[in-house]
Order: sequence, then structure tokens, then C-alpha cells
Amino acid sequence: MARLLVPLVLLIFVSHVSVAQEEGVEEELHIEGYYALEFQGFFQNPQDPRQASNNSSLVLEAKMVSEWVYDDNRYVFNAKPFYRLDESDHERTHFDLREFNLLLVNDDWDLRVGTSKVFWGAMETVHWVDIINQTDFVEGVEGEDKLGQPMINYNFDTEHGWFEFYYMPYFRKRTFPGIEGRPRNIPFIDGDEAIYESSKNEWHPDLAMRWSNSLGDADVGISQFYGTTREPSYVPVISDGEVVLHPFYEIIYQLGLDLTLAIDDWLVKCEALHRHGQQPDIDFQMVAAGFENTRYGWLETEMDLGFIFEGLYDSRGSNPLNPYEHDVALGTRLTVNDINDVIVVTSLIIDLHDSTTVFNFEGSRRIGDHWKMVMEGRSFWNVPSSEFPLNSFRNDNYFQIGAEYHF
Amino acid sequence: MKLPCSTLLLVVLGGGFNAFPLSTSADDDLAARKGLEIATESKLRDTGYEDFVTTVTMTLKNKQGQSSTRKMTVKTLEELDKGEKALILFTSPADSRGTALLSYSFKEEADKQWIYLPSIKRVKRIASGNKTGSFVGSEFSYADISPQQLEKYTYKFLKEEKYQGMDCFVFERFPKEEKNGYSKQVIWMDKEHYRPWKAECYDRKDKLLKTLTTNNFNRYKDRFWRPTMCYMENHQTGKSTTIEFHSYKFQTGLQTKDFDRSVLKRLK
Repeated sequence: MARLLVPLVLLIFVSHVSVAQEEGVEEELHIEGYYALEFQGFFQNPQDPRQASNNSSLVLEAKMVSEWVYDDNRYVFNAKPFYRLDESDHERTHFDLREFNLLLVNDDWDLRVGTSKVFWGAMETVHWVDIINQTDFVEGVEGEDKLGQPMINYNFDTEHGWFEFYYMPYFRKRTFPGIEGRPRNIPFIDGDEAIYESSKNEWHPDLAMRWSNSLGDADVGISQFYGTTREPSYVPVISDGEVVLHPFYEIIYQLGLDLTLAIDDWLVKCEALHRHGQQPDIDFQMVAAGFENTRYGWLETEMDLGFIFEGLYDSRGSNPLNPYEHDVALGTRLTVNDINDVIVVTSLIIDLHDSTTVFNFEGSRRIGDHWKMVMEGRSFWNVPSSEFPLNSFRNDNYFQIGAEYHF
Repeated sequence: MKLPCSTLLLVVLGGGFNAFPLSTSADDDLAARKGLEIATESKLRDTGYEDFVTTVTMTLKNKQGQSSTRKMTVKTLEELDKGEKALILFTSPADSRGTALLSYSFKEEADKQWIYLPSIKRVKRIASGNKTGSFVGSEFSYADISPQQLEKYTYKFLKEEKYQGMDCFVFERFPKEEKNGYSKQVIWMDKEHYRPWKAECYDRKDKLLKTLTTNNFNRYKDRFWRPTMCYMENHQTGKSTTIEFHSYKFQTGLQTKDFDRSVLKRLK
């Protein structure tokens, strides 16, 4: 019960404050966010009987922004607390400061200190080059959700592009579902038992930089990262007579490229990386390339239909860290352009060697000004027992429906 | 972005030309020239605004009469040699608050657009061929709301006509780009101030698709006319969109760097 009360009290508090500020004219502190109730239904029995079947969850995310100008510089304070209360999985019940930072904006440069979120990349189905933030894996196996990363970030603008520099004093461990969690890896990954290559453990200072520019039809970014890998390797350990995996975070160097070319209705995209320092191959490359084409006013309606094709390649071949080593991804994005902003996105990621297929579905619709209905489904087909980690999810086809209230 | 109403339509050349309908095909060249001169004069009269900021309420109505509202702040920058740049920041509905659209419209080259998705902090390039697409579900297309470049159309003067008691020029405008979505637009513009009052938009099959009407123009900085309301009606679907402009501020000191891609990452 106490677990339930915390977010509810927070939620009432935050909603109340947000109503109060709407009435104000010049707002000093701006608060917004959403809360959501989600239900997940699974179609089969779990592989591990300790895993839950159906599940529900409550989410609260608030965003507080305060902005002021002093001495010709603009200062912005950002805070974005996130909380999920999960019915079944104690690891999925978690709190994170997605953002808590102070941003100083000058004419040609800006400086950000605190925890923040950064996105690098071009592709739709995978985000391989994106490395600054750790994946909040309990949020979803697709890995789109990220934990706030503590950083000092300095950026500056020149006529030759945009330069970003990052100093990251503290490493965030990847979150993994608990024993009851679903979908989750089998064998169980105990995220709390992290092992580090660096003797400084999570205090190894990580460094990164990126240059990006828009040159004619092309948007291009080149990035470098040196520090603790966000994507762990796994060490099998016997614990209570059972094989459990402990995440092993190595020190890596990664060079990344992301590229988007916009030509008429087409977006041609590529992401590529070279990583050094991680087992089983010390040096390896990953490349994703493809295109996106959108038919605006599809079939003489007001709908837009986008097609996505992406080829995915990993020089390591079959490996436990990346299931998409020689795969193709096919996707569609339907934007209905109605008053409720209905959007439906589907994708299939197919392994070209053994035809393992992951199907993803996402749909959303607004109801009135504040409510939004969100649906999600994921299905795993033809998964051979050897294809880790996807074999963990073989019985975990699920459908999720959620109601979000945005304030 | 110079919003639709303010720019969809261009204006008429002040003097030097007879204002009679041109009837014979031999006069086609003349009609084209006169149309272009009208459009050029209208653009000239609006040149030098430097930049402006406005807040906008967009109300979408479907055939069943249900409606939905989107609010946004729009910043537009004039770049005399190159074209115009616009930054649209959504403030409502709540779930799309913080989403931003940055667009560059060039006189000669293909336009460029990016969308910023605040929830994942991603700046995403948008294909430049999206001109026909609906802007956030409204009856306005991306082409309608983008700054209009004179060079991307050909023109044809039709006639003079009274519209709401004003002497108006009526002329046609034909997009050079196939991707525009309209085969032509017929534009009513008053002779005194070159303000666009009405535009009929024809689809690729030359059927009347939409009609735009504007009203309550105000003059800013003693020169630049902007409407306070635009109404776009889709005759084929029965849907409509109203845009209200709550405030205009001209020459606020915005600069090129305020429209750089990096500003998207510096948004709140």
C-alpha cells in the first residue's frame, strides 16, 4: 500500500502545481508531464514458472523547467523525475532522474552540468551509435528508454559544424528485470552483481565527443567514446544451484558514424561503428543502413504511409550481445492525420540465416486534450533455442495497452 | 514560418498595367508577366520584415463536427539572398508540448526540415518531398505553412474583381515542383495593400480541393500586413481548420544562429 501511495501523492502534488501555473501569466517554473496506467497481457505460459503472467504498472514522469537570463546568458534548469510502480517485478518498480541539470546557453556555445539524455543516430529499428546514456532495459526489451547520465557537456557551434564534448564521471548500470520480470533473459541476469574491468568500478571517467553538420542533402555525425561499455558482456555464475549471468562492463573505445541523406521523398540512412576492447572479439564493426520513404496523402486520403527498410550487420556473427547480426528490418508508419493524431507503427526484424523474426507493433490515439491511449505488441517467431538472447523471449509474446494523462 | 495566410498569397503590381481581363491566347505571355509582377510586388512590399514571432491556435474540425486544438509559437527569419527560416514550437496538446519543427525554405534549392522529439531528445531529418502532407492533421499542408518563395511558381493574371467591397486582382499561381500537391491556386488580392484575402486550391486533377479565406488584417511596423485569422475548408472531405494569430512581434532581433539545428538541442 505504501508503495502505491508514494506516486499517488506525488501525482496529486504535481498536477496541482501544474494547474496553478497555468493561471499565471509569466511563469517562472514550468511543470508538465504525464502519468500512465499500463496492462500487459501474455499469450503463453512463461518459460520460467517464477515469471509473472499478466501485469499492470503505474508510471509518473514530470518535467520541471525554470529559465532565466543573467548577464546576456540564458540559464535553464531541467528536472525530469521518472517513477514506475510495477505489480509483478520489483526491479521494474524504479525511480530515475532522467534529467537534473543546469544548462547555460551563450551565443556560440552551451554548457550542461548534471544528469541528462543525449541521442545520436539515424536509424529507426536499432540505435547502435547512441552510447551516452545507459539503457533502462526494464522499461522494454527494445531498449529505447534510457537512464539519466551524469555529465559535464560542453558544445559549440562553428561554421564547420557542431562540436560536442562529454565528461562522464559516473557510470549507470543497465537495469535488468527481476526474477518475476517478463519478458526477461533466461538464464536470469542479475543486474546488481555488476563486474567492471576498471578498478574504479562505476567511477571510471568516461569521455566522448561528436562532430555533426548538415551539408546540402546530408546530415552527418562522427562520434568517439572512450570508457565503460553501456552494453555489458555476461559472465555465467552458479548461484543457488542455478546458472545466473553477471553483467561484465569492459572499457571500450568506439568510433561511430551516423548519416542521413534527404532526397525528395526518400531518407537514406546509415549508422556504423567500430568498437575496441570488448569480448568475444576485441575489435568488431556494426553497420546498419537503409531507407525510409513516405507516401504523403496515401491512396488519395489525408493519411501518410511511410516504409522503412534497414539492413543490419554485425561482424561478430552470432553473439549473445546483439541478436540482429545479419538481419533485415521492414517497417511501416501510418500517420492518419485525423483530429486524434492516430499513429500506427509496425516492424519486422528477420534473421537472414535462421529466419528468427521479431514483430513490433505500436499505436497511439489522443482522447480529448489530455488523454492518450497507447498500444504496443511484440512477438517472437521461429526462435531457435540457440539464439540468445531472443530464445529467452520465445514464450513472451505480449500485448500492452495503456492510458496516459498528460498535464 | 510565415504562416499560410500571411504568405499564401502574393500581391499586385502597383501601376503601369491595365487592369482589364486578358482574353485572347495571344495575351498569355502578358498575363503571365502581369501575374509575376503582381506576385513580385507583393513580395517586395513584404520584404525587409527581418523577423517576426507569433503565437498560433489551430482548431481542426472533422465532418462530424468534432474539434481539436493545437497551439504553437512560430518564429520566422528573413534571409534576403537565400530564403526564409522558421521554427515552430508546439505548446499544446500536452502530449506534443516541446515538439519542434525547423524548416528552411530556399529560393532555388530543395527545402530542408527537421523535427525535434523531446521525449527521446532526437532531432530527425524530414524528407523534403513532404509538401503535400497534412501539417499535424490540419487542412493546411506543409507547403501551405512554409514560407513561400516567388521563384517556385509561375503566375497568370486573370481579372479584376470586387471582393468584400474591395478592388481586387485575381490571379493564378502554378507550382513548379511536382510535389506541391496543388495543380494551381487562384488568389484574390486587394489592389490597395496587396493583402491576400482568398485562395482556391485545386488538386492534381484540377478539381477544387480547398478554399482559404483570411480576415482582420493588421499592419505592423507601418508596413507589414498580417491577418488575425485564416480559415481553410476542404470541399472534398468536409473538414476544416481555423488558425488564429494571437500576437505578432516584428523585428525582434532574431538571427541566423537562432535557427541553427543546434537550437533544437537547446530547447527546454
